[in-house]
Amino acid sequence: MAALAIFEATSPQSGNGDSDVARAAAGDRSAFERLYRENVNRVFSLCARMVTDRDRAEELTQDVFVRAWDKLHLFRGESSFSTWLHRLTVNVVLNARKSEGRQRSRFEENDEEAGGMDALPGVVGMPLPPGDLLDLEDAITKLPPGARRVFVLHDVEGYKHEEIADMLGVTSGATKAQLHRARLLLREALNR
Amino acid sequence: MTNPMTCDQFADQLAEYLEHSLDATTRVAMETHASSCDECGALLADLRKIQVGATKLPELEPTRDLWSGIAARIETPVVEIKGNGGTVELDGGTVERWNGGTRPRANRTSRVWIGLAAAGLVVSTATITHEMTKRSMGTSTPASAVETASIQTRPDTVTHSAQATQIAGIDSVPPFHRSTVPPSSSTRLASSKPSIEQTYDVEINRLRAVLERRRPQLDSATVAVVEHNLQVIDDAITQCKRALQKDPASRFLIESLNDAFDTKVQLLRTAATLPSAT
Repeated sequence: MAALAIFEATSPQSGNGDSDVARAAAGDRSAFERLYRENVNRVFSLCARMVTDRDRAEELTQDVFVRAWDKLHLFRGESSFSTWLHRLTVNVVLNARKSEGRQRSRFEENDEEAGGMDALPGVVGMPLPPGDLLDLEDAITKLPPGARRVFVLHDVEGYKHEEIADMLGVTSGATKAQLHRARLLLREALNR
Repeated sequence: MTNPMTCDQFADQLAEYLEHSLDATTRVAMETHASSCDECGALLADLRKIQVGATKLPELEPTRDLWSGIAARIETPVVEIKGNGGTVELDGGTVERWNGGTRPRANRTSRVWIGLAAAGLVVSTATITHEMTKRSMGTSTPASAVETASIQTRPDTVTHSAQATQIAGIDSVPPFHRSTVPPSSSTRLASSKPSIEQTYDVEINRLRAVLERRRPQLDSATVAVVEHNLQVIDDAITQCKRALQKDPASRFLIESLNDAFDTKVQLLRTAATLPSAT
């Protein structure tokens, strides 16, 4: 949960953060815009790494915040707002994947036929960090979708296998297998 | 002391090692093997590096400001739903009460928008139905479609099924009752104006009447398919309404409900214009 912990630590959860959540829940759009400004990069990062397409990631980011606005009254404060928003982001991305066209879904789901690292030519298409992290970021975008989702959720975002399995509707054994496969594929790509 | 672990065994257990799910003895054996085998040692080091790198990836930024699109969407009116749990109350069109809190809304804008949308829907669908009704009955109707629309959008003349059929000049046909949706569970706008559902109901009742009138002329198998599909749509409407009772603010459910009503109107319209059986 390291990455998630970093996220929570860097997001204001007291003072203005809390009051903005309360104000936004009461319909204050300015407060909600502040919450957006504080969290947009984090939400966008997750979307971008999950779908690897910048334009789609931006659309999904907007969907997340629209959904958050609609659902904010259901936020009970049992977790931090950022944790709640983060989970909402995962749900929006995964639901979008499910509801998108059958043909695309079939293609994406069939990781074996996709052929590993060379299967997806897409890149996020945005400025990347320098050095090794650049390489890793780029390599992640080229992972098969199933392996990429698990890698991003586990190693980047810090979710546990049980949580990921619940999100994806698979067993934790399957997510462990996907994660190991993802790491091996990333190693292969980074060592080329 | 020889290393009892082979490279294959190391590879087989590497995932569990990285997940910290191996017992201490096996873990020590893995580490011993990694320290004595260049290939496996390099593999372990690389995978650890990937693990660490993943936690250090920086945040990415959108290439444009997404707020304007979000702001536009959250200002888009949502049809207000009256559910079991919370009272949706429009106080002069400015305040909506929900879940114990008070949430100001752009209700004036919303209500105007909804009113226009409802009026547009009525005009467009009623015109078509009016023509169908005329053809079906072989006579002209006493009220024009535009007149009908104007009557329905007036708050003081909220229509119901019987009234609607009278307006359309088909009062000899009993009002259509949906078998799966009790009238008491109707979803409505929290205002005195006719709700979107009422608007749909009026149109659905009219089209139903046309379909009933034409039924003897239609192929019975085709009518059976239509009825089956209508039942499926009614089931969907019922499910949406039940879900909305629990989650009245869900835009998805509201849109789904409206889509279901729209699909029902389209199906009835198609059915009402089916060619006669030969």
